[in-house]
Amino acid sequence: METMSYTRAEDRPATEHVTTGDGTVDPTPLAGTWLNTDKATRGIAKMILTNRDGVLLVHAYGACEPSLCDWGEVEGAAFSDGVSSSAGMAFTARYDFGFMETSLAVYLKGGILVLDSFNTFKDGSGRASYFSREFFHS
Amino acid sequence: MEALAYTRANDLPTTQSERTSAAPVDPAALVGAWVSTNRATRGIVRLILAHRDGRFTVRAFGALEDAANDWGEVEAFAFAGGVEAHDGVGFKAFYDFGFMETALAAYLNKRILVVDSYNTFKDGSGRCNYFFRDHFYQEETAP
Repeated sequence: METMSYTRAEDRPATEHVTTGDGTVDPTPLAGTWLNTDKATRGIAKMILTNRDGVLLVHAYGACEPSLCDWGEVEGAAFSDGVSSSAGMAFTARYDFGFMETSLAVYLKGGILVLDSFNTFKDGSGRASYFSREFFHS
Repeated sequence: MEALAYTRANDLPTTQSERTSAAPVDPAALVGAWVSTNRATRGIVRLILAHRDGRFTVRAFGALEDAANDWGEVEAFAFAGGVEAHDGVGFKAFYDFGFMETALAAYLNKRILVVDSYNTFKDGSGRCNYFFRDHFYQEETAP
């Protein structure tokens, strides 16, 4: 049997020659409607995460006045907490708004969804690329 | 003056009429050698962040039993704390190892560098794509 390639110890299953199936990560634990713990957020107010036939769909809503900005739905990539675990506990997703891009890097911890967003402007407006961190409950 | 496009309130400067300068985000606060706070980590043991000739880079070292695995240097992208700030407080970087990809998403919290890695296998080995988090402190430089 061919030895697996790896970049760090965590890439290796506990038993080197035993793999745990097809490597699919189940996004079900992430699915649901998630609300920002900060009602006065200026970032993302709400996210709806859906498991559609094993594919994670991300629908985010920005904090805008007088109503939320609907960012639409994009496909997310689900991640587990280890190479031998198939239960989704994190995801990434990317929005391209034309004038800016937002990368979401998100993980679930203790029932709280912790979201990091990395935001880059492409419109020459002089606004700095910025990072923000937010927390969501279901 | 044309109104700025936005996706959320955070995208807007506090004073809409005063545009901030187009200076790039300064990664100075991120630059240096960073060591994992966990001596027994199975993730990343060390990071070197550098800023040379306007290019911001990261060089990561993976944890292996016998020696650290040098992942090489890739370009990193710095992010500020807001649209009107210029000091880098976070970064993104991406490694493509061929058999797998690793996206790094990192931020500074009280001088601890928190690095999340999102790891995707492409080799059909049956390993699950996984998330991992490491914390780093900045190595002291000799006076």
